[in-house]
Order: sequence, then structure tokens, then C-alpha cells
Amino acid sequence: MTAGLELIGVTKRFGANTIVDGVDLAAVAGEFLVLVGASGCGKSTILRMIAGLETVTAGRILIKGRDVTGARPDERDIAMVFQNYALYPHMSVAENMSFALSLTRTPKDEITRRVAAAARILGIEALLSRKPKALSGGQRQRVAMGRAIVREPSVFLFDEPLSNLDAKLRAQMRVELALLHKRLGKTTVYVTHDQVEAMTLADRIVILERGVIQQIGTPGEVFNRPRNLFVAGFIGSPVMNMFKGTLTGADCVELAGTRAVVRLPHPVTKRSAPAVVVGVRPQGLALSDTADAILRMHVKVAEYLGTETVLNGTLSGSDEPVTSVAVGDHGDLAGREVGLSIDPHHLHLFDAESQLNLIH
Amino acid sequence: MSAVANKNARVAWLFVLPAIVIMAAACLYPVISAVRLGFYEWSMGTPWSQARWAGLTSFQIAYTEPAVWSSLWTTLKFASVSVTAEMALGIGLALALEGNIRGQAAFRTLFILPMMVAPIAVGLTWRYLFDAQFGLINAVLGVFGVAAKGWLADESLAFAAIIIADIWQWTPFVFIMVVAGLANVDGSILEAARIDGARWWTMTMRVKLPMIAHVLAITLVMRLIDAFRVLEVIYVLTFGGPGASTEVLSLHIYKTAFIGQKLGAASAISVLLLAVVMVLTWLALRMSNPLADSEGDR
Repeated sequence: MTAGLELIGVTKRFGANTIVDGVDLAAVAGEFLVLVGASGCGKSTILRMIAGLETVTAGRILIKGRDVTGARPDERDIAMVFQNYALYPHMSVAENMSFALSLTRTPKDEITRRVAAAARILGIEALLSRKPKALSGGQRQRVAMGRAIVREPSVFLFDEPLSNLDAKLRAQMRVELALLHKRLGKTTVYVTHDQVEAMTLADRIVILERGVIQQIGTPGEVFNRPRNLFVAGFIGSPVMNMFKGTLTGADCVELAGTRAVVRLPHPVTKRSAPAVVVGVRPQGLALSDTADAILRMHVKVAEYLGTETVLNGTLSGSDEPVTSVAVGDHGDLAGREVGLSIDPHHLHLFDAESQLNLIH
Repeated sequence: MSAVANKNARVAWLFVLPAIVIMAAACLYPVISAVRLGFYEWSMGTPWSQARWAGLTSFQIAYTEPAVWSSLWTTLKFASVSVTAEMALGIGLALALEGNIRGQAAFRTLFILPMMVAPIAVGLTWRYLFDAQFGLINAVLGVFGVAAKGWLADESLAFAAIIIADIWQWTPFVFIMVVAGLANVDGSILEAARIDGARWWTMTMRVKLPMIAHVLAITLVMRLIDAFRVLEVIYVLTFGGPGASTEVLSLHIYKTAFIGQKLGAASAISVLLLAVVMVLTWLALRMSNPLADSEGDR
């Protein structure tokens, strides 16, 4: 398969600060890549380097096999949707959408055709003569996407496009974005800090920390087989529980401060020091009052969410924070002590020093 | 309008009433006094009780006097040439100094200095610079082999001199207004334009300047109003001469009032100046009204 977009050893430095450090990344043509990470992890800088808005300190960027590292933004065959929409306030919706085409001297009837087609896809035909300030946030977002679509680029770049919308509209636009990508089938790079967007939209997720890629994988891969502690802690909501532990045998871990011994589904084959971190997703800790309840939790806050209840508290005996998700309404558990069993299949084990996953 | 809305509107008026009263006292009272003065014959220094009602006489005399119309014409020429040049230069410099150029902050500060100088001092400075015998300008021209010119003695050169002085003093005002306007332009819009393929010229003419149109309009209005009222610099530099070649309307008003001692006529001419400035302001604001409701141009 041809690569729609390729980054080879891309590095960005501002003075002595390295913002992006030797990123290698390839997107298959038509793939939807989502870059996630905390603020300042370099995800937006990578997107801006692909767009040509930021120069590359070292490395190369290829779009459809063509080296565009030094090319001007408009010569890269890309279109970008900005977080704040970045619409031209003095132009109508139609003018906003056709501006790029008018600069390339595209024939008038071709411009009209493309603007009309994009407006139809996005359902903004009635807004074409309006100015941006007469539009709602959601409508502006659609116009920004329309402006990208009419250019028919090889690569779409999205910089946190939904973060200025309210929660309900964000969910709706997320679905629309997924449908739009399906329809257009263009290579897409999407930057977000919202992991729901990442999990629902991505073919593959790229997780970044301090300018370095931590893991690239499908949503299922990064959720079920996080490569290291950072990815495990970043993906998933509520956040994965992390307990300090000691490897006492090939398949036995004792949790610090609790005397609880967890049996692993498989023996650990990777070499590791005895000091480990045990990771269990809140969904893998089940309420239990039978003998398999190996942990006891003092529930401090019980958040009932309709179909499930998120229980926040501390482990009895070690004050370590712990979160569990239980199906149904358990709002009455606040202030009480409950037993928890661990589903070994939801268990992750990390080397305490290298932070790498020892099981997957 | 419903009863509630009506009541709300009344309460709203009540809240803005103090501001309206202060505005009226500060702005309208002097204007009304000036207009009223036009209907009286009154010598300065005598009690107002000795003023004599003169009806429209002052207005008739003032508006039929050729010197009034020629000074209005001079004012129009002065304002249009100097304000056009100031706008063009100010915008051009602001655009040129927009990027990340070394020493930019220092240059900007240096550049706005002329604006802070008192007009009388500006007039005096330029009078020395333009001096035919000792002036720096003739000295510099001499280096290039250009013969010394009697700047302030020649009608068209004197007119050029007052325009040069005005441009020197007021281009910085346009410059800072435009710099401030450009600084407020959302950077991501400019980036979007770069991605859309806008190069320098397109970026300037179709993105940047239209986005600061309201700043340009208010700058233009302020400069026009000021240019029509210009007095001190010309007073010191040429005092309207040679002949009446640089006698702008406000200088003519000054001379009528304080040399000719015809306060009524001076007031009548002031009303003319006020009307011209108001019409111009209205026209400029119609082009792009910074105070307009944001939904206005939907």
C-alpha cells in the first residue's frame, strides 16, 4: 500500500528545547491517524510541520511519496481545520470556501460546483451568503471543514477541531467527522487531547510524550496492550489503577502494603527486577464479597452515571488511591468498605524502572 | 414592545442619563455657544451684555467673502494630500515592521516620537529646517548640487512644507493604529490564508487590511478631523503665507477673530468648518463603521 504521508526522523528544536524528537510515522493512503498527548507533547507542532506552518529542524516529510519538507503550505496538497475555525471574518461563507480556489485561478463554474458540492455534504447550503459572525459554533466548524473539502487535498489536517464546541455538539460532530472521512477516504491527521475522539475516530492512535512517540496502534491495541506505563495511564477513562508490587514468582505478584497476592494469567517471560507496577483498569476491579475478593477498598465518592457507578477511594491498609467501575447504581456505597476481585485478563504488569509492559 | 421591555428600556435610559448629561455639557455647550456667537456682534473684552443681536448678518458676510472659500479650498487640498500620504506611509511602515525584525521595538518607539512633540515646537523646528539660508534641508540638497530654495517664500513650496511637517508629525499616529490593529488579527486566520495560497500582496490586500478596516476607518476619521482643524504648525511655520497660499480655514478663523476682531464672523465660519468635518466624518463612517452592530452587515 502506498503511504499517504510519511515522517522520517522529524525533529523540531526551538533553541535548546527539543519539542519533537526524531518522529518516524507513516500513514497509509486514506488512513485516519490521531495524535494524542498532554499539552506541550509536540502533537500540534508535528501537525504544523506537516502543514508547512513550522519549519523542520531535521528530518523529512513526504506526502504521497513527494518530499515536501521545504515546500510552501499551499504547495503541499494539504488542507487544515483550525481549533478556532480561523474563518475570514470579512468574507461570506461561500467566499471563505472558495478563497483558495480563486487564488489558483480555478474557473468560476468549477469553483461554484465544488463549493456547492461541499456545502451539500455538510448541510450548509443555506448559509453560503452569510458572514462567519452570523453563524453558530457548529456552523462555523462546518464551514471550516467545507473550506478544506473544496480544495480536494491529499491530506486533511485537523488541529483539535471540536474542542471549542459544547459536549453535545462535539459528540454529534464526531460522528459526522467519521462519516465524512468514510465518504472522502482521504489521509487524515487529527490532533486532540480528548481520548474519546481518539478512540472513536482513529484507525491508529499515535501517543506522544515530550516530543517522542510512545506507541502507535489501533484503539484496541493501545487500550488492551499499552506498551508502557505512560500509555497505560493516558488511554482509558477512568484512569488505570497503578499499584506498586513485587514479583514473587514467575506468575505471582504481591501488592505492596496489602499482602494481597495476584496470580497472573501467564508467567512473565521478559526479564525484570522484582519491583513492578501492577495496572488494573477500573473495569477490571469487580465488587465482590466472596473469597476471591483479594483487595478491600474504602469508598470515598460514588459517582452514579446511569448505567454504571464509578467508585473512588483508597485501598484499605495502604492508602493508595483506587477506582472501580461497577455496573448499576451503587451510589449507596460511599463511606463503606467493599471487597474487590481482580480479573486477571484486565491485568497489566510494568517494570518499575523501565516502565515497559512485561506481559504484552 | 411589551410593557416589560418598555420598562426595561426606561430603566436603561435612566442608567445612561448621567453620561448623556456630562457628554452634552462637555461637547454640546461649546458648540452651541459658538453658533450663538455667530448671531451677535460682540467685541472681545467687553461685557456680554453689550453684545448686539445681528441676526444672519455675520453668516451672510462670512459666506460671501472669497477669502473664506479660498481658505476652505486650501484646507481641503491640505487635508486630502497630507491624510492620504499619512495613511499610505503609516500602513506601509506598519506592514514593513510587522515581522520579526531586529531592533523592531526600538525603532517603533523612536518612530512615534514626533507625535509627542507639541505642535508649536514642531512648527518652530521645521521653520529652522526649511530656512532658506541656515536650514538643514537646503544644506543637504546643496550636497547633491541642488540650488538653495526659498521654501517658505514660494507659494507651492510653502504649501509642500506644511504638508511635509504634518506628514512627519502624524504618520506615526497612523502607524501605531495600524500596528495595534494588525497585532489583534488572529494569527490562525493568517495561517489559514497561507495554506490557502495567499502570498504577501494577496495576504495584505485581501486578508489583513480588510480585517482591520474598522481601525483604518477610525484612523482616517481622526486624521481628517485633525487635518481640518490644523492651526499651530501652520501658524508658526508660514502664518498662512506667502500671500494666502497656506491659509487654512482655522487660521482664517483665528485671524478673523483675533486680528480682525470680528468674533461674529469668525463664529459663522467655524460653523462652516464644523459642517464640513461632520459631513466628512459621516461619509467615512458610512464606508466602515467601527461602532456598527456586529450583526449589521449580515
